[in-house]
Amino acid sequence: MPSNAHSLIGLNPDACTSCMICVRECPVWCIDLASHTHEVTEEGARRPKVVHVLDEFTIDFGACMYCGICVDVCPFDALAWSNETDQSAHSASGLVHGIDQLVKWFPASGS
Amino acid sequence: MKQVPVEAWAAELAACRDAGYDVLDMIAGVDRSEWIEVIASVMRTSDAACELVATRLDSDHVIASITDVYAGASWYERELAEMFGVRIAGAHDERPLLRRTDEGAPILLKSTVLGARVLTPWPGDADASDDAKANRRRQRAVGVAEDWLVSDGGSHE
Amino acid sequence: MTSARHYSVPGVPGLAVGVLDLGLACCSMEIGAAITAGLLVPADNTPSEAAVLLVSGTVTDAMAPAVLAAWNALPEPRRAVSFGACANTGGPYWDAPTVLKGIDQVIPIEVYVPGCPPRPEALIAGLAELVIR
Ligand code: SF4
Ligand code: SF4
Repeated sequence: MPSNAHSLIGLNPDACTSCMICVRECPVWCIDLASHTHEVTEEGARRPKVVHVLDEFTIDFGACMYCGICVDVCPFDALAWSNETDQSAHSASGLVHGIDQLVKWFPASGS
Repeated sequence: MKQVPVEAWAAELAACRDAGYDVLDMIAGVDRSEWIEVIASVMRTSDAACELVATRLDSDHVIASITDVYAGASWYERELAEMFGVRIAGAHDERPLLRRTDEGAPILLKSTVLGARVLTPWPGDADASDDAKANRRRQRAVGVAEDWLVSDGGSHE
Repeated sequence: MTSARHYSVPGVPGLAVGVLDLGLACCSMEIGAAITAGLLVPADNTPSEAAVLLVSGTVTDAMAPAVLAAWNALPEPRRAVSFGACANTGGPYWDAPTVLKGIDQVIPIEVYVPGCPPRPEALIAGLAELVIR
């Protein structure tokens, strides 16, 4: 597999801020995410800080057209191309992958 | 690109053929909102020269068939008819191409509502957070016209 | 309608498939790429385990009956592979009223290969899934 093969998209959940930009820009509506916020008060801070926590992030590779728009628009480089071979499934819903799988496809050094 | 009035469409393409452009590459339609643009691309195999001929259909969407000039035009003319609702005057073949009937609005017109985009919940519509402090800016999916969702009881907003 | 061609798959020892390639759009180029890259090797008259219907590309409503007819004409045991986003779910054309939201609405699909288009390697991985099953 060539090193620049655009086969899959990986997610770095620690970099993702749940901003929804990728979800809204995806032309085939195949990204879905859920998050919640909670407040953290840091020592010495006057006000608590609102932090987004990513609960779910899925990409439906059954519909994904590998356009790379999500990778391009993410302001936090939380999405990146992987050159692993696309994984077949025995059902269309088996092509929907969540955080557990997407994090494995996030290239170690970014791309 | 040569821009011609719609009355000159067939004559212009006949002139292209007579100038040695022996292959019709394609005919495409573009919905420019106020008018429909029709573009033909022709090629000359002897020196690989290419020419584009364009015309615009303003009010009545009728254009002359050029199947007598280029036999291969029929396919594209059927496409124009089916996708843009253009009537092809003197068409040899009026069977629909991708649909089994010619019912329903022409699907490549911007004014045509794509049911799937209305019925499918847009993942971008959900607020990222269920928190009341979250940004409540109204968002709309790209390609979904403002007034599509008015009559659905507001399920989207 | 073309008849099934026989291939051996060097990456999956022992696998011989008779593939009826139903290429309906750009994805079908990748089948040629797989052959050119030596991932699929045309084999003459090798008896194959199963006839595989490989549906690649956009299935329009107008084309769906032809896909069904190809499937029905295939001798048992037969299996179907959906190759690429269009065949899997409608892909980039998911919102078009003329396009099927997945070929599995018409024929039973055993393996779904993702990609737009999938790489030739993904085709081989998908065929290997048929064997494992
Ligand atoms: S690559 Fe394109 S189609 Fe796929 S998830 Fe990203 S934006 Fe959506
Ligand atoms: S654009 Fe990036 S940071 Fe924003 S939700 Fe998508 S992956 Fe997360």
